Amino acid sequence: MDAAFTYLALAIFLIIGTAVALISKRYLKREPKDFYAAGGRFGTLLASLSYAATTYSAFMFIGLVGLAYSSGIGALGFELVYFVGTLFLLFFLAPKYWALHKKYGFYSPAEVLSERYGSKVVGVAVTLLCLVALIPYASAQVIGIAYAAEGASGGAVPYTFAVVLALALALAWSIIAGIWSVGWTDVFQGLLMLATGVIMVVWVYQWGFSGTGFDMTKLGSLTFVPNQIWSFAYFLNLTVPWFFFAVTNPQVVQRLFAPKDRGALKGMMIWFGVYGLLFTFLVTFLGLMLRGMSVEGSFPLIAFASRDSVTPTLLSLVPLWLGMLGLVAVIAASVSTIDAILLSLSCLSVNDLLGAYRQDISKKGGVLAGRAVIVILAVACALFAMARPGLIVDLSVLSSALLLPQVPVILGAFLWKKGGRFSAVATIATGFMVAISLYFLKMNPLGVPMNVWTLLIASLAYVLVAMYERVPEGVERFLEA
Amino acid sequence: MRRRVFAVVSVIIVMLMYLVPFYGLNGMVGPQTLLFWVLISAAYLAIVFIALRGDG
Repeated sequence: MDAAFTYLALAIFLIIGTAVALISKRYLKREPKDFYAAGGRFGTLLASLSYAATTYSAFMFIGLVGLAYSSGIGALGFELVYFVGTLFLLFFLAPKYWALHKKYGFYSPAEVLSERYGSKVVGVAVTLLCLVALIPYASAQVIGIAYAAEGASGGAVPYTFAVVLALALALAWSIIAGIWSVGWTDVFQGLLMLATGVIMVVWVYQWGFSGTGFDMTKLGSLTFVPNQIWSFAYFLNLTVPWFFFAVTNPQVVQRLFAPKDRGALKGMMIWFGVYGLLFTFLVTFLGLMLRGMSVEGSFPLIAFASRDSVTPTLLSLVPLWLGMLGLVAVIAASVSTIDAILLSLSCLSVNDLLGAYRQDISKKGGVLAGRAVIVILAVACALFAMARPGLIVDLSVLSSALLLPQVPVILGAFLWKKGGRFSAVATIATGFMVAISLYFLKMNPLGVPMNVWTLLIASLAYVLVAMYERVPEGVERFLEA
Repeated sequence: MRRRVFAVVSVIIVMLMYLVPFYGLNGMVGPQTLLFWVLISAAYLAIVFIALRGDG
């Protein structure tokens, strides 16, 4: 696929997505609650596809295809543990977040914790943690687009151009109408991602195995765990933060405020589940089939360290129409996550960071400040992505690891009647220090994975401080929600 | 009570997702591990669907 067709694919995607975003603007009321949480007016279709498209990112089309290709079936298990963990957590906590939004008007995940623990300092700590953790994650999405565009065009579309374009799209689609433009473009992008996944799998099967069928046994040790990549400890280390993704990532927690009623909330969970299971299977199966083709010599053999180039290599080999579709799907997967992250971080920054010190911000001023913060965050992501910091899976897992210290604070907020601002802040600070130290020192003390240590130590800090702390007033609102 | 049963079933399913592939199906070449993970995840989705229907 040459540069002209790559630019054409990008232009078509940009025009359709921007049209959808502009049309969605008619739903927006100019107040922060509506800009960030749709004022609780999303129906089932919008809520479920927006949740799915926000959750499933470049990590799926680039990172997970490459991981399945290079490490085998463990990649499927890793993603399905996330899937089951998400359904489990949503079942118990989604109705609580939704009810708190309806009853008290909360629209920021950090605001919920500030109110529960009786201090805005908790919201400030959560916001700072999310800012540090999610800029690498958002940048990983941008890198995914840049790799795909570079690979699909044979290097004719420069990395820097792709980075700027991805962030410009995410910026525009989040600024136009906040969660409304993000949500409706998510519907368009979510459907595009799923359809492309199906088409890709069918086409690759026909291309590689039409006469013989796909014989998984030829993949040998890649069809079981443990193998040379997936030890039990490695699997546990990757899956622990991923299991809690649905409550630690503010961009997905914020989706829980948006459904218009309980029926839409339940529909969101079920349809997200159907989408997620199918999409996960398609993406990992694609990676396994490509590896099968490499074994048979019909697809280039790609090393473990270069696994992010599996999908871009595929896009450079398929027919033009499919290459364009695949590239657009990668962009859709990435942009639908980046714009949600930008929107969510903007919400936290304005509502929980700025709002902790300035109580006099008007509704219109809040939306304006939110839009300005989105621009600043997009520039920060661009600078980070330009440095080409690492593999998409590694960056995604680092982000989830840094967000992990929130787990005891969030679960404790709804399930335990003890705990106040000191226990919440001490847990986040302690957990963050443990996570960042173990990650950079590459340490797994006593053979226990670093993310398990982070979760254990953060939980211990939470329980120890909470036992001796005075409980703030109004805790029962959160326990009974 | 119904929620407690759901929580217990969920924990068992998560444990099976770790233990069966790493210990029960360890070393088996073929689609067994893939099928196990996909089927248990699909079963869990069905359980969530049923639990949500009965959850007022």
